[in-house]
Amino acid sequence: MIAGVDFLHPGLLALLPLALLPWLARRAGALPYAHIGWLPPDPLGRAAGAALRLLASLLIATLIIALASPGRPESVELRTGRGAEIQLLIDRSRSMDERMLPSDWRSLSPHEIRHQTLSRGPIKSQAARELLSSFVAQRPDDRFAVSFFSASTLHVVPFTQHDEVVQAGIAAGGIHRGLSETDVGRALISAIGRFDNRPYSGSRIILLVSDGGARLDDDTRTAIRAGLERQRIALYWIYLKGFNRPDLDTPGEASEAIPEVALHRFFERLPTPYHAYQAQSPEDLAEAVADVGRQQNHPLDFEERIPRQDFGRAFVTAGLGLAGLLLVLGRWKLEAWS
Amino acid sequence: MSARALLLACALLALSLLMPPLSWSRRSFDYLVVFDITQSMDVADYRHDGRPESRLAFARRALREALPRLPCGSRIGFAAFTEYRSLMLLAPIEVCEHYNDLLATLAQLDGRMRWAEASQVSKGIYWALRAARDLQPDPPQLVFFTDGHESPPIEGEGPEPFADLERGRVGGLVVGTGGAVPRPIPKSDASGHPRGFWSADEVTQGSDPAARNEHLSALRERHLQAVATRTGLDYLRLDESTGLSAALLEPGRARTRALPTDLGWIPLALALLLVCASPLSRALGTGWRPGRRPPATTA
Repeated sequence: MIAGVDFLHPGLLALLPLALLPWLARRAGALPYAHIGWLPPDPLGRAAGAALRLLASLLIATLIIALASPGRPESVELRTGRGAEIQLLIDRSRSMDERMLPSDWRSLSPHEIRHQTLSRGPIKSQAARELLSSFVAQRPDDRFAVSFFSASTLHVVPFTQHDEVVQAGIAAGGIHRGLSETDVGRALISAIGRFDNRPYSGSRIILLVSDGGARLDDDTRTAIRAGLERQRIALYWIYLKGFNRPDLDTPGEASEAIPEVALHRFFERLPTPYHAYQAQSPEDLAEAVADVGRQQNHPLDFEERIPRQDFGRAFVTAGLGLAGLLLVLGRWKLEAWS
Repeated sequence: MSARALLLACALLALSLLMPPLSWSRRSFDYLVVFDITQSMDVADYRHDGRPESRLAFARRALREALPRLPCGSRIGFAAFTEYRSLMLLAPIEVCEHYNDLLATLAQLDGRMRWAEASQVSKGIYWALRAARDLQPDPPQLVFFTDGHESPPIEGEGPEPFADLERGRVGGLVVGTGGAVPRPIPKSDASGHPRGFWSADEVTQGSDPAARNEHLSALRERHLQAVATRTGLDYLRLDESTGLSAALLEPGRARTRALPTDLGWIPLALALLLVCASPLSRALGTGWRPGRRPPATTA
């Protein structure tokens, strides 16, 4: 135990020699007496005096240690719980700044929808950020990493359990408009790479949040397929379907030319788990996020951070006890003398 | 120890245990730290431990060393600059609680994040000022690490600050990063592998055919100073001897905010003073004063 103790202000321990003060002090209120040898020996008194000095020493030492703030440093404990390692991979292209269908779109007439969407539909990226943010907040056992992508991949937060950091990463995506290009293939390869050199802990997910697809070349497909398989990663795609954009499961050969459909079909043929959620209104999006939450509740070995434990209060309490004891003993001693 | 001193000490200790954290105004610093991640920042004209180090790596190191000196309650966020924009990566978070996460995010900030290959530094600074301003309710100050290398090169003064930016509304520092001697700029591919150096024909040169040196990069201090003056920022050159922390800890940049503060140490320290006072005075004072020396015992 003692090895696991540190001090927030170790410099104050330099005051510890003050604990010797009671032994250097002469007794207060000593009566001048001509010859000490004439006094009868008083072993009890001597013992009581020594005990009082010892208590005073202890008291001073205790208070100094309390001031130095002892504690057990932040530590990590291995726990088994339920949850996952989730890499959020969020599209930061400009199209994500467009609006999606308003919540009440079903009650609108077909020719109203377009106008209403453009004027008051929620902005895709904002709706996605809000939902992801509450998703993260509800899952304290998961570890999250946050990356955005456009032409390159912007890894923002490496895997962490600290909710606030993940939230700050998600929030940063809301400052100013998106970037012009997207390269979802490169982003996926880069996101898979984030699991390299991490011990496999039970459940790994890449949660892709994007409103567009891409026709990937063969090299990229091979790299993504191999990477997901090697790292045992499940892929979830929340497809934010824009107004008049195609459905992912549009049938037919010809629809292979639509980037979103092409990407979806490639994902479907992956040997690793894949699930697509098509969201065109905030409600769809909320449902998709909730479903991801339900799907991924596998047992997971995870490290739990135990925050620093402060022992300072225990020392103050001990000091209070010692001071009280001194007070009582001092009283008794004076009474015995008088 | 007198009974009265002990009684008072007991009371102080009880107070120390029972008092709740008080809301106390403390000085702290909020910064949005922007790193230029364009290719000229890969020029290795710094040295660390005898080895050359790139401008970007040195800037990251400078910040890493300054981080632990910031008082708790300070907040740091990150952004990256390339093309013409500074893109926010991490909204400001508290430095003490999130120290390890900040270091982890900082460590992965590199050229692989580049989303385009241009380097319009002045506009990047203006965008960063916008980003800082739009971080409501507590806009941070700006720290912008750059070598000032504009590509394509600018003619004359360069672009004016955006009309919506109020000069001096967001304070902070432009940190000039790089050496005085122009050096070739390393080339790297999308995955960060080195691919030689940029040649004079591969980069956009200025209109003056005699000065074809845009493929070389040095710290463009005068340009950065001009941009800093125009925007109401301060300018600091990052060199190997002076650290960054002094500039970051300048009192003028501090903000005072009321933070819950545990002041239990004050009654605790007073109690310690009390219990030490009487033995100390007796050890040094009355006990040893020659006039009060107790009569010597005759052996």
